[in-house]
Amino acid sequence: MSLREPLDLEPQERATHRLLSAVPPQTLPLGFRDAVMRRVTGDPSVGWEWVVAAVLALPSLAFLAFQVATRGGEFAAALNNMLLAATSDTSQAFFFVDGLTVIALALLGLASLVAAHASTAIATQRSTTSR
Amino acid sequence: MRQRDALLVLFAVILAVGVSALLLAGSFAGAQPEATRPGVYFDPTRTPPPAREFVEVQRRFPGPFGAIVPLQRGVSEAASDAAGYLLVLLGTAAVFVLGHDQVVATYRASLGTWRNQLRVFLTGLAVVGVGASAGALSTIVFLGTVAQGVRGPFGVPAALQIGIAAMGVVVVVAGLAALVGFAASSWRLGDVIFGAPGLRRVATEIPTPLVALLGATAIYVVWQLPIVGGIAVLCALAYSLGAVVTARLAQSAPATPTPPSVT
Repeated sequence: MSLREPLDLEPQERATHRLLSAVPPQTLPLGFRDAVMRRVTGDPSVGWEWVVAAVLALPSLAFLAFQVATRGGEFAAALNNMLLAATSDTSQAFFFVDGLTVIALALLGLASLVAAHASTAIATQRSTTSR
Repeated sequence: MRQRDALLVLFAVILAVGVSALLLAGSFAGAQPEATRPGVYFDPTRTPPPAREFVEVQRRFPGPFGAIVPLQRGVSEAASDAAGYLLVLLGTAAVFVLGHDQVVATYRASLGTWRNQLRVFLTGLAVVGVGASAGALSTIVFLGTVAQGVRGPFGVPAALQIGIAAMGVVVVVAGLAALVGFAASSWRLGDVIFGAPGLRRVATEIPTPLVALLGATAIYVVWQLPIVGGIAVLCALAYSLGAVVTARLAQSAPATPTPPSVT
């Protein structure tokens, strides 16, 4: 605590400030800072996030892989029609997508986000504790 | 692992089991030789073929598993319409995870009284106006330049494609800034919703991302309204961009030297 009085002190706070300023600074015990930082940053495990990410991602990945394996031709045909439509002067187009594919893609994205959060949390913890 | 984490894992496992059952049923139904409706369909000339009656699909399922087919069909049809909503939720959540500091700074910039809110909104409107004006003017300048013969070694088509690609890059950068602002605005809107007298008690127990996702849901629902939707989205875009710009100005303000006082 500085001996200089802050400018925003109220008159009744000055005595307390002088009293606390008079206390000589003391060295903190060895390891104190690390212990505090562990408490602050120590959301100890993000393992459960990896579990959630895996549980959500694996069925979606399996479904999408199965879709590509069994109905890959439909994807290719739709892509081909898209490219053809982009170069022609058609004024209409018909589109359909299986809703389960949408759900699988959304779950895959959600699982990837959870995994990204877990990996960035680990990186943040490492960088904070190594400082 | 805390109790809350264990509950989340349990919820994820239950969700995964339920979704896996639906995906399995969908895969089985799609793998039938008589499956008429494709998984993805795009055609400028013909409508997609109709789906088979689910009673036909149900007959091929073994015993009790046939009961899941109507549910799978209903979820599939609903989910194909919900792709936009899922994209909004995914984008908001992604910004919260990958750009957390920027979202928090933008959220803090949008705090304050109604005067601050109005200032943020008007700033955003000004940014939208500047962006629209600059976009239109740059298009005019670019087309004029191409038409006057300054088109490089590849001719008009290549010059136009390069120009459109460059504008696409600008739109993506502006879209990223708008996404950060949208996440912060959704958070603010969620705060407002949970500030209602009946909900204030539970507001502290709900995680921030869920509050923001609820706000994003509210914006998306308003967006779907026939006439109000477009205006609401424009207002949300203006507020989002205004919050981002206000946050940027607030961050750069301490770095600028304070001019000596005249008094």
